[in-house]
Amino acid sequence: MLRPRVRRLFRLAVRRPERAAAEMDDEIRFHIDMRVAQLVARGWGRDAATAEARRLFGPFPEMRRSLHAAARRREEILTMSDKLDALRHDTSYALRQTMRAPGLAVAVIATFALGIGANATMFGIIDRLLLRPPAHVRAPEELLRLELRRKWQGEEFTSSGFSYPVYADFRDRISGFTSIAMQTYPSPISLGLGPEARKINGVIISGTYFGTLGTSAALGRLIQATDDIPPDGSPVAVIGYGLWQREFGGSRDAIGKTIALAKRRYTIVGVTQKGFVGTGSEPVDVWVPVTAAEGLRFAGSNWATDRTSTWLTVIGRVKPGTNASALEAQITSTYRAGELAGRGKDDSTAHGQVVSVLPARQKKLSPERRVAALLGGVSVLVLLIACANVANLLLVRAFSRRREIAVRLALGISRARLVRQLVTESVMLAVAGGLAALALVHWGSALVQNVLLGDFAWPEAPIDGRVLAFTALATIAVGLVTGLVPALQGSDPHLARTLREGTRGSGLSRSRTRAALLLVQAAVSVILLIGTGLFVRSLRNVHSVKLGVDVNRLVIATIDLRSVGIDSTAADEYFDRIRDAAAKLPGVAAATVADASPFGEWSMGTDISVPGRDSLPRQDASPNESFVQPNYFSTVGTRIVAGRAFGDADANTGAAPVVIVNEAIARWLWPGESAVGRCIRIGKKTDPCAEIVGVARNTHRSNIVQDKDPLQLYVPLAHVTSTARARVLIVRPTGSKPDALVEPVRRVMQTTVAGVPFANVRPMRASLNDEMRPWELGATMFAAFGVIALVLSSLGLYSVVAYTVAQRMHEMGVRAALGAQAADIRRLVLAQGLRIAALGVGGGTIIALVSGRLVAPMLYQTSPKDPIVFATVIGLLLTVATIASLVPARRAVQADPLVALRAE
Amino acid sequence: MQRMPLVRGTLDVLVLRALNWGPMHGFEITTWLEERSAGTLGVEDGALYHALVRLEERGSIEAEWGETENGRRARYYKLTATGRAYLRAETARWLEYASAVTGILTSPRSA
Repeated sequence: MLRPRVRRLFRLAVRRPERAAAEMDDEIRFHIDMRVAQLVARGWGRDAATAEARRLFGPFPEMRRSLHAAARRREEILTMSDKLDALRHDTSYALRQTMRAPGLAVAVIATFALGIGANATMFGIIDRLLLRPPAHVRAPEELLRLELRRKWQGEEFTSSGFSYPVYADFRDRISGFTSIAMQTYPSPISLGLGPEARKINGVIISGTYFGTLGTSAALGRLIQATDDIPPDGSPVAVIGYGLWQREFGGSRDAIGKTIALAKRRYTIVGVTQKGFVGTGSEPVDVWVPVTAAEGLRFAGSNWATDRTSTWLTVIGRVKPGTNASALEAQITSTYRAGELAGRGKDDSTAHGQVVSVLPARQKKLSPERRVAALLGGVSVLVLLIACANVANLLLVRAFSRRREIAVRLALGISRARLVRQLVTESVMLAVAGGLAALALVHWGSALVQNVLLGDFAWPEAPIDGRVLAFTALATIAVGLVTGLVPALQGSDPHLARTLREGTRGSGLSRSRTRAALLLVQAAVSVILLIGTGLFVRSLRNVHSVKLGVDVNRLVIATIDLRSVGIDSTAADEYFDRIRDAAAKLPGVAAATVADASPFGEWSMGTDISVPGRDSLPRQDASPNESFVQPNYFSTVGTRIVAGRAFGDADANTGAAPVVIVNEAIARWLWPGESAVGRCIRIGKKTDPCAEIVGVARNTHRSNIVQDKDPLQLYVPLAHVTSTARARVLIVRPTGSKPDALVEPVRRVMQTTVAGVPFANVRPMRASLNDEMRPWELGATMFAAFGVIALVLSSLGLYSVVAYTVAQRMHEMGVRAALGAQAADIRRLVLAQGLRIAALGVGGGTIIALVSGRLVAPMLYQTSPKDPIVFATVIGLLLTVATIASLVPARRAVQADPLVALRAE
Repeated sequence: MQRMPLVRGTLDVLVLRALNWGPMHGFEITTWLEERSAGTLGVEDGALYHALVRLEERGSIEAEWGETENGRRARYYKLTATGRAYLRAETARWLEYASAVTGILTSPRSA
């Protein structure tokens, strides 16, 4: 008799509630019969006995009905627990099987962890960069952003910047929006003054801003229209959740406190929700109404009427289903009418200016986003390799177990159940891999975020609900996919034949599946490694660009004195004092003041003319004019290639006007001749002619990547005439490490004079980071993924070749017995591995060549078909494939002909 | 003799106790209980089958169809490991309870 538990496993299909009721009837009938027989034996009459038996049983029809119901419910509950039992059984079977080959399990789990981890990390990043709607914004799809498009010399330019009067026109005249608001880009604002001053990120908004976004306050209230009434508004501020935590420890007392921003003090009225950043992606610390933002606006005192400063962006909310082109037409005509009335000229129409509406969330891909999206695709490739690899390993194992499987099939286990058991195994391994992957995500996201994405808003932990859900889905999916193929093939009933054939009868078609998986892996590895090579070369090219200044050594410092009402004369005095103080700091070699620095925020162009020449050869851009002190060139490390640098005498009032030009200007105006001693007029034709005393080496102005050297001229700072020019302090350390000077210089700038705002001090290098980031991101991540891919696919190749060799040991022995030399056998095995690798490498190379133009825009001075990269990668892969095949080849050589012959 | 109504939940333990002797069908359990209690326990036969359904549902017993000595088909019940453990625990609990109640009821009357 089979034990009931065992029987139940085979009886899954027969558990039916209807059947349970029928069985209950059988049981009741049996009981009554037995009772009647018992009573009859005691001398009862048959009829009386039957009545007594029924009476003893209970109120018969009700009792029977309730027993039916109870039996049905029992069957339902037991069916569930049978299923759970089967699952538990499958799982423990899977666990036992896994423990029998722990090495394989570790390999599979590690492979899954890498594949899933890479994808979950990239998903987290891409989700935040591209997919996730802005936090705490109602119906973001109804929000539109305005953009001005205009034609200029056949090219189209776009800008999101508008002046305040234009915003006012839109606000008052356009009916298509249910709500409209303005905001500035987040920009540094000084919180407090003097030594305590800190940099925070602020946005200036109209009173309609929060209402338009449809967000709510975490504490207090948000800025509303009544806070933003001209001319001076209410000095109120809403602070971000982050600042609230940092400055006020998240205390409710923050409401009603005042904070000093530039000239004014603002009362905190509210705190935004955690993670709220408006429609952008940068964290924001404070919002203030535009009418109250004295000293913070990027426009002069006539900001409300000045149409020349375009310093704000406009967003609007529309009703769902609004016709965008009709709205654009209305906005464009409003814009043109306003500009015509306000400026008295109609160049807006002449330049074909139109205002278009776009989704408020920037869809245009910044370089980081483009690279991140590309890397997302790449990580999917890595997962593909990981899956192919695991499928391969499991396939190999399914075949090594095929005798056991054949026995089980022969014993009558259903194929479905067998497949379920094998898939349970792979899903179990995938779940273990998924858990390990989460650890990788935690570590990897922190790395990617800190090193590569800069100051992107990232308030939450790297693993949130969405990443978890993604990981879970990916885990189940790869578990099923990698388990199903080997399970279906391994449980093929025809395999029962192997019982008769012994282990030698290996299906050729099976090794074809494995070879195909290997091919895909090799191809993907090639693609990824070529990507790595291209990005690394780009990065090297970017690094080797000669910028003309010592960017890696210098510290640059600016301070917004105008926001606290310090005028330009006082500012000159201030900068002289801090320059002298900074120069005395330990570790400082030199300090100088200029109106702008390379890779700084500002640069200003000017017109020049040469006496005696009517016109100059045409140039795309006018020369940039910098005002510098005599020690500027030695401080920033720009060489004077002809003539001399400025001397102290040049700065004296009444000194003859002098100028230094760069090589580009010299070549432009006097090609092949010396420019020193010549004379140019800067600005108006009536200005005195300035003598060129020196020629400076070309320098980059704001970008590492530039088409041609910009025209640049230098004038002594003492002769600056415009009060609009800013000041920047440039400090050169004695060593090559600028970072250590940042804090001392900041202290000097904020303590030398009372009442100054936050000083923005940073290594010049930092200004280049944004531009470098896409290449760094690409090179680092491609390299990481490429190495993972290479390791995985070489392991895959090794395991398959090794397995085939193990399978063919007998054949090798026979060959050896028939006189094959060790070299012949080695060649045979090597050829098998290399054939697969070569096919994969060939395929991958072709795909890489074809898809090269996808990455071309992200490269720098590197062809997507760079022959060195291609040759290196192909060589590397073939070498790795050779090594992966050589190890098993050595085993094949050791096949003993005697063993083979005896087995025959 | 008057039949005593059964304390709630006691029937389950008694059934388990019966099956502790070995697999039985429903009627065998009934007669076993009747013999032990000399007919003092007021149990409807139907209630016994409710108890059997309940115990099977909980996994305390298992059932399968078998044949009686006279060749009739009957559903046989058998104690599982879970049921055995449950029986042990419940028996201990009952003895403790009974001795506590007995102790109180039989204690000599004090001032």
